[in-house]
Amino acid sequence: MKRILIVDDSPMIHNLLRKTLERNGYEVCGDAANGREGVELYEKHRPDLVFMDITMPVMDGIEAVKTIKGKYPEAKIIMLTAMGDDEIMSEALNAGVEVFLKKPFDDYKIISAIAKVI
Amino acid sequence: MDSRLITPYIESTVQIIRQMTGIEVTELSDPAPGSGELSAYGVTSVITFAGTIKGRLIIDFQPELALQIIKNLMGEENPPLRDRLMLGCIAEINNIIAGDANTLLNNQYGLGLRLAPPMVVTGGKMMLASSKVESVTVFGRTGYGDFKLNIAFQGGLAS
Amino acid sequence: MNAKFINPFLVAVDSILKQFGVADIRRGAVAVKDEMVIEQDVTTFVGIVGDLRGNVAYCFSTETAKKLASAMMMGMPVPELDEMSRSAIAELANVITGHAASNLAEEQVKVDITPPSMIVGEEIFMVLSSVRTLIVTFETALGPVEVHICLEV
Repeated sequence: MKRILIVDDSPMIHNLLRKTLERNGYEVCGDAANGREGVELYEKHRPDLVFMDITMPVMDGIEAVKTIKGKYPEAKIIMLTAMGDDEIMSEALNAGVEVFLKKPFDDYKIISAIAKVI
Repeated sequence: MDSRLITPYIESTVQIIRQMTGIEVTELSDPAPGSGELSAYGVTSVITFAGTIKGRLIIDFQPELALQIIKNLMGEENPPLRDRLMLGCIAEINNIIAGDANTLLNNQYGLGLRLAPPMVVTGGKMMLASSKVESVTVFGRTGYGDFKLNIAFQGGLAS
Repeated sequence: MNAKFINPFLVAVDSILKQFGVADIRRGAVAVKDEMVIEQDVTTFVGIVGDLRGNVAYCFSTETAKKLASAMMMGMPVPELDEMSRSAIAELANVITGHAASNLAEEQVKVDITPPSMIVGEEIFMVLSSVRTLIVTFETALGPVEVHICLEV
């Protein structure tokens, strides 16, 4: 079973995304509430895929992507965020994310994005 | 107020409430100019933003509608309202709605709007006031209760 | 939270209240809370975006709010917290936080502030941010002014 790490500061998003992933046969191996926790949990679990928010306390998602990708270039990361204008999207893509998604999401959006990446 | 600035918030609200909670907005009023003050239904989220212009989106729910939204999102049968996690759902919905509308406005008009963190409040006889903004209010209805949107801006688009 | 980011706000509260003629300003108790349960009647707040992201709220009793509104309106009597005085209180948050933003700019921290909002009500339960809130109470001749600072750093 593919293992996925969720990094988001909203407990509601963790809850919704976990349900979406689990009913489609994925395992959520970790829940991080900010970018720094996300980096730590990535190193601990080495998941197959990460869902990463951008605006979060302590360390934002762009920094976290750069940190993870700098150390583990093979990491697969999908950005999932409320704001997705051209500037933010190109910042995320430049940081190295595989896919950029805007909230809200449904099963189709999540599963078709995962299919592109792993 | 400029409908180009208002319409995205109204459309995002209807779509996102439907998509995330399955709740349909059955009635929606035309935008009415606000007096600058809003008398709240009881569960109210405020999100503010700034870029080349500044603004604010308030979504104000009747408590029974807010509870239904939380129930649908969290899968809890009887969610407590005065709870950080449960009430936080209402702030996150506002964050996603404002994020969606601001994305569109930024791409269309280059406003560079960035969101401050959303806040959410519940209480009795609440009144929200502001200064230096122009606002409109839209009334909405669902099968579970009513809500209001209040959209405010400082500054406007070039015509 | 880093003092470098906090002090500019505290300095701004002190200096703007003084500018409006508020006497006997003393920085009092400091507390840290996970959530904001406002025990005061009146809360006014402003958002921050840019190098820092967050909200700052200023809370006081109705009595203190009326006196502050009066001080802001050149001593005009404020017997009730009406629409004009509510707007003056919202403006106070705008002026203090705007001053804090200038103080931060001197430290090479670039932020912009968002429009102010003011909330009054009964038994308010408020969640201001997903991060912890630092609360500093200023004692003044017009009554206590609580400053709640939530920064995502």
